[in-house]
Amino acid sequence: MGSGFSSVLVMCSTASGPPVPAATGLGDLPESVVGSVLERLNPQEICGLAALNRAFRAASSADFVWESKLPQNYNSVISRIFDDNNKFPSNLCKKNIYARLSRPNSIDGETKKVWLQKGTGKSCVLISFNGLSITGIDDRRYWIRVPTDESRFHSVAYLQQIWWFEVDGEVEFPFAAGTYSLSFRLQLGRPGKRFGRRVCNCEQIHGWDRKPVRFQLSTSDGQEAISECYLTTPGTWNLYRVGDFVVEDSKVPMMVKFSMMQIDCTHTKGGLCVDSVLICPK
Amino acid sequence: MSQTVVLEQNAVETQSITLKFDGCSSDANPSPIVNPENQSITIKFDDQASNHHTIPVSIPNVDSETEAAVNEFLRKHGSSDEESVRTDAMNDLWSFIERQEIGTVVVLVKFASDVKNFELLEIFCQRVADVIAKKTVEEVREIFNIANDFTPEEEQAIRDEHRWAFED
Repeated sequence: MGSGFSSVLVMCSTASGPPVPAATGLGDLPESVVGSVLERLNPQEICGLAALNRAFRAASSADFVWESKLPQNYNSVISRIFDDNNKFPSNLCKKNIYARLSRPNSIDGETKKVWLQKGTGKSCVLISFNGLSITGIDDRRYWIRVPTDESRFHSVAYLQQIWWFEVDGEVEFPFAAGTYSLSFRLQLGRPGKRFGRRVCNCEQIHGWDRKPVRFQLSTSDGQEAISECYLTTPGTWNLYRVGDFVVEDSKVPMMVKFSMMQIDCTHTKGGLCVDSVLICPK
Repeated sequence: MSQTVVLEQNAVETQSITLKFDGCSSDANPSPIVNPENQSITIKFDDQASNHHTIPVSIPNVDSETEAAVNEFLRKHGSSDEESVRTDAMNDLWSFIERQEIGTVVVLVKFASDVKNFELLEIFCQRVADVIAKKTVEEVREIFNIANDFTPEEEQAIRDEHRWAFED
């Protein structure tokens, strides 16, 4: 059915069009030309088309195709992630470099994970609560660590109650040029499992409806964003967006500082899980 | 025509390379752009290829209307250095190509590749990419009448090799 259907397509379309000779089929074009077509598709599409035929398989591995998908500063990203103890494999073709960098890699003593977002080739950074500075984190009257598979780091910080709620953090990373959003991943309520099912203990949730939480971010080149909101929807993980920042020059690593605070000491607040902070391309 | 590129490390010259170019117009002025991030050297020179065609060009295996549209593009694009004129020419050709049957576009891709006209190649490759995007491999095979020259085992091995692109 395949080839018969296609030749009907060719003959019926333009009345004045001659049939396309087999020799000029798409699968017969030089690898560089097929690569020029593939370059204009996204990484998933390129990888999918590798299974089309041998010519596409070859073109889909061409270095020039993947060079255009990697961030311009990918060597800086490699240096930031890998070192003598954790060596980056040498002699990888550009496609395999892309594949390797789009897997989550741990940095900074495993407190953070970074990966290239597959569609855009720009980096995402996820910072565990372990990579944040949380006021009172070591005081078990206030905070405890809860193991859970609902976090990519397999544990979260759970706040029982506190007056001065403050979480600070920072990260320096060679982001590719572009706009990025920063968010806190939080849940009201303590996650758990009963009989293999997800449960959430909401008994200790209190104090978040009195005053809003204040989120802030600032960058090494002077950008700032502030937002305030009330935490909502107990039992659900939410990404609370702090704001955006723009990276103009990928040659200069960007230092981003951020915080989340509710320090009105007329009331306590509690029942909150802090998982992580996420920075990702907008 | 040749160009010398000097490579330095820490402001000390380590190597000097002379690049020779054959067959380019004497108007061409290649200048290398060095990207220190990935240590690549890109040489782009003002491609005068479109001016090298004797217009009208003859394009095998396309109808006269298509041949005329391509020649109109070559004439208009080559007639001026002004960005707006060249952009208009590209937009006109793009609108025409969007209305053509895909087999014709493939013929045009081959033509543009053979004559090394990079502007034409850009337009035609983009059109083919637009048609391919978001389609399954089977659909692309059908549209372009491409034979699958893999065994089922080979095809599965390739899908497995690229699974990383689809994982979260």
